[in-house]
Amino acid sequence: MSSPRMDVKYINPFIASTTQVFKDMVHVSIAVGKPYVLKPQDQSYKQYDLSAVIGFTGPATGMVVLSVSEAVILALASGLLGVRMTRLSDQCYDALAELTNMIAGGAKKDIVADPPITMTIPRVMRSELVSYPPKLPVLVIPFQTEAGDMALQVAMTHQNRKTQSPPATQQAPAAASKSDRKQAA
Amino acid sequence: MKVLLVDDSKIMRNIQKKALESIGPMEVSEAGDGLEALSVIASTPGGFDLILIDWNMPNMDGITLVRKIRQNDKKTLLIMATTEAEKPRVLEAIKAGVNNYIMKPFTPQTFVERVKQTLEKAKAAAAAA
Repeated sequence: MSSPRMDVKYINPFIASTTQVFKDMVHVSIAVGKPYVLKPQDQSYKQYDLSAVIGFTGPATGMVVLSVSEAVILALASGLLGVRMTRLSDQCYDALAELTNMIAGGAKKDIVADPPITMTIPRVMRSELVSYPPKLPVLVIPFQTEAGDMALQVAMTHQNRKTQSPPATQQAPAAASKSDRKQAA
Repeated sequence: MKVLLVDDSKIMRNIQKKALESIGPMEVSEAGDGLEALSVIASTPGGFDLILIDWNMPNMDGITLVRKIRQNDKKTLLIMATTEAEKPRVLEAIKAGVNNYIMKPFTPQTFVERVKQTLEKAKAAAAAA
């Protein structure tokens, strides 16, 4: 079976947005690694311990996931709050959700601006695998922070941009829901 | 000055609260969504001078909250502080009655500047009236 093609048009908006969020609000140094596409058999996937999921609807559909280790979210939450965090707490889950929210918001405006893409409320997942829409390539953008590695996973498609060729299928997000900002056990 | 912060992220409310404290003494209240904000507003004698509102929240989103407030209150200063950065969203918020718009992410300096700008503009308008 051949690997799905990487839809490169989604890479730069998410890298730019993540870099901006870290510069303005997190104050933790970050470097981007080489993006790659998940293998089709990995459509249910968990890269690190904690993930925050946001779904996209409207002119583009899909989802974005920020996946981090415990050590990384402690460092990021500490950076956001300006207070050193040493153990996982609701504030860490809140920080993960809000970071994902800002990264997704910053990226979506550069993908389709009018009409705007609608985002779901972030959902934090602690133990279960994230299920991606079937047949939609999942782009993984790895980042290195001073506290460890993290990854942004993007599965998106849209048909409005004349200069870009959309992937073969259009699929609603499977894991993201319009439920309250919440954490799954 | 009485300020209400409406955001479903407590960490974001803390960041905003800390930035506001650098402007001067403020009495800050908080709400986690639009519905809670309406309840806090209704139970606060004299209301608020300034309300900062996130867009994407559970139960009642920020744009609905702005419209509900503006139904009978044209005076309270409203600032939308949100990740929604597209022009149609900004125009929608202005049409609904916000006085200013702050895009997330923001630096504390940008946040404080926008709040001060909003307060000064309102002060100048009141002096001219």
